[in-house]
Amino acid sequence: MITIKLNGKNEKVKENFSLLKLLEEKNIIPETVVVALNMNVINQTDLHKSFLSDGDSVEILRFVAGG
Amino acid sequence: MQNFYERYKSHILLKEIGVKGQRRIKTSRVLIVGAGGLGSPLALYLAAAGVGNIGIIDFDNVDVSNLQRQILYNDNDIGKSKVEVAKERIEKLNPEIKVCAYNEKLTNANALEIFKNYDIVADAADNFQTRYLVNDACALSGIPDVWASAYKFEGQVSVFDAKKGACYRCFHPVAPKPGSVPSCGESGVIGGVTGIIGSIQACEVLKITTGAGAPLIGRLLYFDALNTLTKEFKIAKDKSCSLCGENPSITELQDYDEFCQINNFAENEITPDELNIKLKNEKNIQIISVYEESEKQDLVFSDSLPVALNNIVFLKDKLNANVETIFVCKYGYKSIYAIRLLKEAGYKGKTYSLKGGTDKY
Repeated sequence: MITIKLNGKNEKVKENFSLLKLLEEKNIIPETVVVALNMNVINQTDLHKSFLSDGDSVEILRFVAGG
Repeated sequence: MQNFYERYKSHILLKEIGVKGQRRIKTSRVLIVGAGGLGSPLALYLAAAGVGNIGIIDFDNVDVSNLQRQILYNDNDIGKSKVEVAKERIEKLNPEIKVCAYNEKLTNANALEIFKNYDIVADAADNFQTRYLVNDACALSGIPDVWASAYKFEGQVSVFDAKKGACYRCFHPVAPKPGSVPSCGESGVIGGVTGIIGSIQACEVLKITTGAGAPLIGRLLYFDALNTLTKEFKIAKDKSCSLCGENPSITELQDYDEFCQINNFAENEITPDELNIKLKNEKNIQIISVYEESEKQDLVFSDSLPVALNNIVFLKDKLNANVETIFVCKYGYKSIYAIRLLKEAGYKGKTYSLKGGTDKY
């Protein structure tokens, strides 16, 4: 297990865990969010190949169109 | 000219703007897409700042529920065309500017023609079809898209300038399915947030116009009013972006309703009248009230089963597939999305979504 920060809170995940897996585990539909890894927005189509390392910070924001 | 120096004294005093910058503002041409919560402060600040040519496009009329945040309008404006009221209001604020009101929907048929007359577009729309349309039309026209959105207590701002950095598609090439993301009308939004975010948008427009400072190109600013904090994220330009990458496949505007799958499940919809007839004639009907976990639940159909969108797939084994199921939600989008999720999970029973949602029932 490794420890990451998810929206500011510590969270333990398995090793070799991708951002897409993280969303699946949290029951989040990937197209409805913006995911940033260490403050860099990750392209929606790269979530499956972005793997988490110990100490990474992940921010999941709502992808919204409201105005 | 005397008036120019007096009126814009506070801008002219700023070394980043000065007389030169203010003259640029005077000759600049800015289009605001959407005259709602973000469009209101945007239009007011840009007019006050002396942006010489302002266009505003929106096809909506003022509704009483808009007044909590859409500060362009007052109680007497209810029912009137938003852009007509907006034009009158900002022309009064600054008689030196020219305002063009487009009381129509921005579409793939008119976007490029309208954008031709502007140097910058500020996207303050309220739906994904328009967001992708504005992004694409800006990139194809070679002008920046000063983008922002608001949701509950949160706001996001960025500048998508495909010539200099990332566009909307560089990080989010696939639009969310209808209903998967709630709108301001569904989820609620606090007025101050649209005010703050729309004002940041106005500032970005003036910065780009005058060349002052560093605009939010390749950066996403996130504001959380509930905890009063901001965060900034980098957005990298995607070399393989279908719009602004090295080998773009998008060279003209698309069908954005299709891209956002707006009409995919039209055949599953049922009107309020049809539903009433069904409820009268058939005893065996299951009604599911679909809601977002964070959303307040008001059960319009008291005998319906409330199910959170996240748990919809579990219905697959709970529902009786031999009985018709009606899905309802506030505006009729989430219910369509729920049916889609359920069918993807393999559910074979007959399903309907209440058209227009409980709001129109």
